[in-house]
Amino acid sequence: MSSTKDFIISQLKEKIAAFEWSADEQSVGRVVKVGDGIARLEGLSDLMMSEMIEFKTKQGPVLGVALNLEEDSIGAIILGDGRAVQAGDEVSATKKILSVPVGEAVIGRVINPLGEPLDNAGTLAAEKFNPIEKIAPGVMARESVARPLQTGIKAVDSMIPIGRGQRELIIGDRQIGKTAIAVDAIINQQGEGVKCVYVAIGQKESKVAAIVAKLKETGALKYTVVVVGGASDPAALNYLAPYAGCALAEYFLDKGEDVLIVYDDLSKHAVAYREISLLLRRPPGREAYPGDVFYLHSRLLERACKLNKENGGGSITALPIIETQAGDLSAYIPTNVISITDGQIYLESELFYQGQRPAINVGLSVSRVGSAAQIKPMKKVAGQLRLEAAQYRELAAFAQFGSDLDQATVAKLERGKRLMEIFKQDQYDILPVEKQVAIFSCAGQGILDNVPVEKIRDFEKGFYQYLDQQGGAWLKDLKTKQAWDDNLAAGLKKIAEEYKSTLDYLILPAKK
Amino acid sequence: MRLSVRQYAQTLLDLCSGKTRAELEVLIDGFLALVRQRGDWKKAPAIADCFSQLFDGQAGQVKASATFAVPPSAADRKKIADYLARRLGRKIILTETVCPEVVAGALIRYEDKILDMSARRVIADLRAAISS
Repeated sequence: MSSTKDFIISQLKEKIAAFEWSADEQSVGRVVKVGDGIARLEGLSDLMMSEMIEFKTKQGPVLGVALNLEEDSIGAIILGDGRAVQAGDEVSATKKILSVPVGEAVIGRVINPLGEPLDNAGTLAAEKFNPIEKIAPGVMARESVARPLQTGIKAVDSMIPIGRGQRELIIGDRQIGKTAIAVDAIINQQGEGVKCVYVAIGQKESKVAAIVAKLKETGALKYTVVVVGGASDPAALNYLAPYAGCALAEYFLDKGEDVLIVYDDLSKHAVAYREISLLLRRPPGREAYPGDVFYLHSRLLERACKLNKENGGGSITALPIIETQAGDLSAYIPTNVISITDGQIYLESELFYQGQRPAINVGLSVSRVGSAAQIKPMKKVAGQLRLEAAQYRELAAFAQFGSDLDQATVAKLERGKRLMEIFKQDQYDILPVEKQVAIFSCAGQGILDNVPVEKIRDFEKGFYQYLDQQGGAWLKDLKTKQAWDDNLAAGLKKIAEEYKSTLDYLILPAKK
Repeated sequence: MRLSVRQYAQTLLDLCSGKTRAELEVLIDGFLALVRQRGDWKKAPAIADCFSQLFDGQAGQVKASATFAVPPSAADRKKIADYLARRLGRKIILTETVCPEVVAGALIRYEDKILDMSARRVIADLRAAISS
């Protein structure tokens, strides 16, 4: 006991002796006007742009960020409860820019853009603080995107492949399955060594709660962090949410890891920024958005990249989501973000209501990285899929008029119908890439030609089970070789024919 | 064209230089009439404050207030004024207030700065250093 007491006393003496006293100079100002989450300040003559400030309110300190530096006053957004701030309150500069706590401890947590936990699971033990705003890596620090990020969605992985370090936009009308694609991509990262960040911007808290519950149920929350700027949160928090999420992702990028980040959605982000800008009396431009709304998203999305080996080799893959109105791709914010990203997945309402889900319009969707982000077997079997899907769409429109068609056209139509059935996939029913290769190879080899169109999904279900039970060696061979050859094609054909022999609904050839 | 508080104050300062007291009275009347005419009467108190700051800046002096825990001695007052004069390189016009919460030392305000030389802050910093 006395040795413990002596230790404490010696530590105290050491720290007191080492303590250096100095005068602390702080810049201070005063709140002149406050309302709608915005405060107008006077004083603080040497305040810098985007510097954090602290309002000394009766309820305790409240943080803010300076966004407008004018001749006689400063416009700042209030982070937190704006009702606590009153005119006349003292404000001090912190000489810091806004940062969020980052580290392994944030994984599995649900937090707000300031890094405060929302999941009642205790305080966050942060390793360090990353600034919310950061200049994106330069040209020489990057390398080309070459490694695939599998989403587990057949239509995406085969025709609109996404690579690690790519920005792929998911765009479509409301309630069309945009978030479903993003969440499926997160769930499919199980065991891939990819950390995930889901940023909810202006979303209903019930929707976010459902997503968190699903991630927990599937085990995806073990490698995911959820950043929430809810619909009832101030516009300032919704404005900061994607940057906070990116700062979290950059912690893992700097460690050389791969990260997937989903921004759901950037339309609401632009609306929040418009609200703040109008309240700060910045001049409105097109559709009342401020003039720098492009820069708002470009500086965010440029931080998603693939770094070269000298800089750790990590990557951030971004899946921003944009909501269109009545399918209008040519509106202001959608065209802005389309021009920034490396491709888009366009979801169409018409396809959705026809039962084609995910409702991906393959013609208008593109991945600018392309087959560089596909494994060799997938590249081989899915090479012609886009063309076949496009040809089917043309022929289907033509065949509506009921004219007599030649055999080759009928065959193409039938193959196309089966392809469309294969592209249908239930939510959360993700498929490993090896099984995707198997089913597309079956389609390409004509193995499905005598399976009725309405039975294709049943065929698929049973085929995957059969593949697990009887085709383990084939799957292993495919995974090991990472290439496609005639042996694999022949092996798959044998397994498929064996499976087909167990079925009773195949179309028999017409008797001559 | 809208004029800012600073522009008004700077204009008044420029006009005031080299005037006699009688001339200044006429000038100030005319200036305030102009402010009223332009519909900026609400800005008048802020213009007066800003003018005061600009005037002090031009005269090379700074108004500062020091808060002590107990009424300061003349030596303490001089010490603070000399310290500030050296730090800011200008003449100091010092006013004092007393607030026991400071504990010891002084809390100095000048322009839009606070210089915290109080024991209250030192104790808080020491507590933070020991607990880290």
